[in-house]
Amino acid sequence: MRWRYITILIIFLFAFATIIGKLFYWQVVQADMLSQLGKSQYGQVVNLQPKRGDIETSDGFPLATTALSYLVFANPKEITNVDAVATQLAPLLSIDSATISAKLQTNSYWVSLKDFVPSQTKDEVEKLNIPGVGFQEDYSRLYPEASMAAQLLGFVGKDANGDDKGYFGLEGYYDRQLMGRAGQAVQIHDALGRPILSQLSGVQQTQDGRTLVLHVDRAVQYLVENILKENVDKFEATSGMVGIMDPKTGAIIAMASYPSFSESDYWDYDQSLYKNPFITDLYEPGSTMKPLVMAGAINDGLVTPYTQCPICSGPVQVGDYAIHTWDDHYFPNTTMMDVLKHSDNTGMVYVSEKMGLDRMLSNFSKFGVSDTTNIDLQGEVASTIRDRQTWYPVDVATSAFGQGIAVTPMELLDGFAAIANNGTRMEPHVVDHVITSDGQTLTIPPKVVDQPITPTTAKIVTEMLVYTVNKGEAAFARLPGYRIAGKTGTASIPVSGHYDPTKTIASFIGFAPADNPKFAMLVIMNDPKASPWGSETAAPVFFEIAKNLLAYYGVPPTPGE
Amino acid sequence: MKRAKLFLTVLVGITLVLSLAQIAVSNAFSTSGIALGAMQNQIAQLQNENMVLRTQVFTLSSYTHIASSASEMGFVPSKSQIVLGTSKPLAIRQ
Repeated sequence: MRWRYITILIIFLFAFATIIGKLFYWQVVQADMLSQLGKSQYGQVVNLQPKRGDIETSDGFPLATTALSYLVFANPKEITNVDAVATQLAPLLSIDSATISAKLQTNSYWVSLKDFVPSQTKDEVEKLNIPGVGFQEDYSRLYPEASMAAQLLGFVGKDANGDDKGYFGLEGYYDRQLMGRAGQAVQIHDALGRPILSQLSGVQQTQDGRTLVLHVDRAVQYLVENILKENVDKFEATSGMVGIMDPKTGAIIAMASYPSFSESDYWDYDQSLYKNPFITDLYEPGSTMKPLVMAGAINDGLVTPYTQCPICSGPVQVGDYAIHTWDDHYFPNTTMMDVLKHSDNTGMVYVSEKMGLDRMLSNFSKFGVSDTTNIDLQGEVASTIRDRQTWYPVDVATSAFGQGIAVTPMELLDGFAAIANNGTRMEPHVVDHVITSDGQTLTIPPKVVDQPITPTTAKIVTEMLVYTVNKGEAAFARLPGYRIAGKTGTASIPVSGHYDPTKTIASFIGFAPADNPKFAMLVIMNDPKASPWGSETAAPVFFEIAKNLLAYYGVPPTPGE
Repeated sequence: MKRAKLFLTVLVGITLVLSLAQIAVSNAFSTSGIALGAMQNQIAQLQNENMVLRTQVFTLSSYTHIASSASEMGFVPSKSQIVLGTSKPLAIRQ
C-alpha cells in the first residue's frame, strides 16, 4: 500500500516541478519575448514622424516648408485590365503609360507608382476608383517660391537608411535643427483593430523641427534673381552671382547665382549646380582687391590719398616680369585717389612695395582673405595663403591688384563690407533667429570678427571709392544723386599655369549710400562674351540692383550729387 | 445579530449596485472606440485639409505666382521712379 502513496507523491512532485519549471521558463527566461508578443497582439507601435522645420524669409514667408504628399502604389494581382489602368493613370501622374504598364505586369503584390504626389493629384486618382490602387500619406518638402534661392537653401534628399537628410546650403548646415526628433507610441486595438479608450500610450514624444527665420529679404532676393538672369543672358556670360549683405550686422540680405537648380526635382540637374558658388568658387578677384590693399596701406600711414606714385610713368619691372596697366595707359605721378579711379596696376605695385610682404600678409589676414568667413551655409571653402618663404617679389606686387591670390566671393564681400562699417568686419550670417517647436525664439546676435582698419581710414577709403565710382571707368552707369562707393574688377582666369587670353571674370563691388550704408554688394559675371570688362557688364548690373534697393529702402538722393 | 444581518444586506446591496454600475459604464464605453476612431480620423482629415490649404495659400501668395499672373493679365513692371528730394531754402546764409 505504501508504495502506491510514494508513487503518487512522486508523480505529483514531478507534475509540480514541471509546472514550476515551465512557469520559470515563461516568466523569467522568455519574459521579454512573450511580453512583446502580447503587446503586438493588442497594440501596435506607431512611428510618429516629426514635421521638418520651415525656412522663412525675413517677412515670415516660407521658402521651404512641409507639405502633405502621397505615395501612389498598386497591387498588380488585383488589376485585371492593365493597359486601361495605365492609360488612365499616366496623364495624372505624369509618367508614360508604358512605364506604369510594365510595373503593373510584375509578379508582386505591391509596386510603387509615384511618390511625392500632391493631394490634388491624389484626389483625381482617387476619383477614378481603380481597385488595387492605393495611397500612403507622406510629407514632402514644398518650395512656394519655386527655385528661389535654391543654392542658398540646398535640398532635402535621403540618407543611407532612406531617411530625410538636408544637403548643401541651409538644409545641410542646419539639418539637425530642421529635422526634429521622431516619436513612438503604442496604439491599443480591439479584436477588430479599432482603437480603444486607452488611446495612445506615449513612449517617446515627437519633436517637430525648428523653423529658421532668415535675414534674406524675399523682395530683394526675387529682384536680384530676375536682374541677374536677365543680364547673364544679355552679356552672354556662362554664369553670374550676386551677394548682398548688411555691412553693419553681417546679415545676408540676398544671395543669388545663375544658372541654378530646382530643389523639388534636384535629381534632374547637374550635380555641379548644387553648390553655392558664392561660398565655394575660388577665383582671383582682380581689381576688386585693390581697395583692401589700399586701405591697409593708408591705415598703416604708408600712403595718403594724395601720395604721388613715382613709378607709374610706364610698365614696372619686378624681377623678370614687367607689370602693365590694364589698358597700357600710364599716369606719371598719379595720386592714390587716381590709382583707384584708373584701376592702375602700377600704382598698386608702388603701394605693395611700400607695404612689403609681412604687412601685406597681415592685411589680408585682417580682412579675412584666405580664411572661411564662418557663414552658416554648408560647403564654404577657402584657399590657404602660401608660406611666407614661397612668396617672390612679383607675387607681392600682383596680389596688390588681385592676381595670384584666390578668394571666394563671400570672403571678398565680407572684407570689403568692413570698409562700409567703419573698419569693423562682421561675421556673415544668413539665419536671423531660430524658432523651436515649442515657440521659443533663439536669436543669433551679430558677431564682430576683426577691426582691420580704423574708422578714419574707412572714411578716407570710402571717399576714394565714391570718387572712383563718379569719375572712373563705370561712371556712365552710376546713379546720379546718390553717393555710392565701389570698384570694378576684371580678373583673368588662370588655366594650367598661365592666364586664359580670352576669358575674364567681370565684377563690381560696392556699398550704398556711402555715408550710411544700407547694403554692400558684389556682382560677378563669369566669362561675359558681350564685353570682358567689369565696368561694362557687372557695374551696370550693380547699379540697376542698387537703384531698386535704394528706392525699396526709401533712401532719397543727396542734393548736389 | 439583527444589526449584523442588516450590515450584510447593505454590503451585498452596495456590491450589486456597483456591479450594475460597472456593467452600465462598461457597456457605454464599449462602443466608444468606434467613436474615438472616427474622431481621430476626423482630426487627421482636418489637419490634412489645413495643411493642403496652407500650401495653397503659400503657393498663391508667392511672388513667383503673382508676377506670373500679373504678366498674364498684361501688367508690366514700372521702369520710372519719381523721387521727391528735399527742397532748398529760399535763402542760404553763406
